[in-house]
Amino acid sequence: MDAQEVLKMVTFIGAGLCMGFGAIGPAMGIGLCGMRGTEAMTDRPKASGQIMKTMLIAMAITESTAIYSLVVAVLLLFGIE
Amino acid sequence: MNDIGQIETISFNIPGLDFTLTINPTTLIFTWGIIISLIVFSIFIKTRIKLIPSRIQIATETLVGYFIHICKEALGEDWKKFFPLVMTLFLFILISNWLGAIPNVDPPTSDLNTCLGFGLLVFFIVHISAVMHKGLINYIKDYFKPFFFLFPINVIGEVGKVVSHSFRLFGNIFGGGIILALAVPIVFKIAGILSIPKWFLAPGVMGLMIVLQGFFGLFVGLVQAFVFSMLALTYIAVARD
Repeated sequence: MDAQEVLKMVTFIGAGLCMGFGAIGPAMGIGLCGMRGTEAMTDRPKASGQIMKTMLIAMAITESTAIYSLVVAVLLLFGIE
Repeated sequence: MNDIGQIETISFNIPGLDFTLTINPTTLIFTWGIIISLIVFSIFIKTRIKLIPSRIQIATETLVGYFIHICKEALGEDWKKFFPLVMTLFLFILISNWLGAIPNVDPPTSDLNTCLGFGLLVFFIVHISAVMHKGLINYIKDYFKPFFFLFPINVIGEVGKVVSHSFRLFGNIFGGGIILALAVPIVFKIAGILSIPKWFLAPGVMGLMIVLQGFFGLFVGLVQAFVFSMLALTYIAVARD
């Protein structure tokens, strides 16, 4: 194996690790968001529209850390020649 | 696999100047197509407003009424200034994201230039409206709250808002596109390893693609368009406080 192949291998491993570890936290966060959201909706069914809106926004903000790792992984995969 | 994530570009030199102009034709064509179709649709609706509404008028009135309600909740008396911005952002991004549900179409929002453009647009509107509403001195004072040495962190936070705001939209739509492009090759590769004939899998793959297109194109597109416009509204409302 020459240096180029080693570099390519390490890049692919790095991209996989980046996406995998980067998805752990947001997954737990989105799960918590959904849990509390459904709890609140069953407590107060009349306010479910407002709760739904806030829950979706909170989920999207939580998700953005996963998106960062996706962007880094994509940069690693397609940035390497 | 290398053609995933590539956007076709055309580069040409401007004669007489030492300057290379690069444009993304797909993004430009779809962007202008969406703009023109939105304008035509709004003129179509506006000229046909009746006392007894048609179905399409009811749908439009419900959507616009919902956004007016949200803007009134967030901004109070000033909702009229920012309602057109929020509504237009929502409609443009929604239609652009839903274009991604059509196979082999790259929606404009899967191009980082579009998303970053929207992020910068919201950034400038947020800060200019905050300066005009509060005055320059109060605006600068906000950067030194709660303690004066937190100034650098506040500035980084403001810049980070632009990055997260635009990369969230871009990453969702672009990532959905990558998953859609990879789903079929991966299924057939696994079938090749297990030596399952391809004709046996075809109906299942078709069903899988319909579900994936529906989820990533329609559902994620709707949620992301809503989140983008709501976050723009929230940033404006927070900066004006």
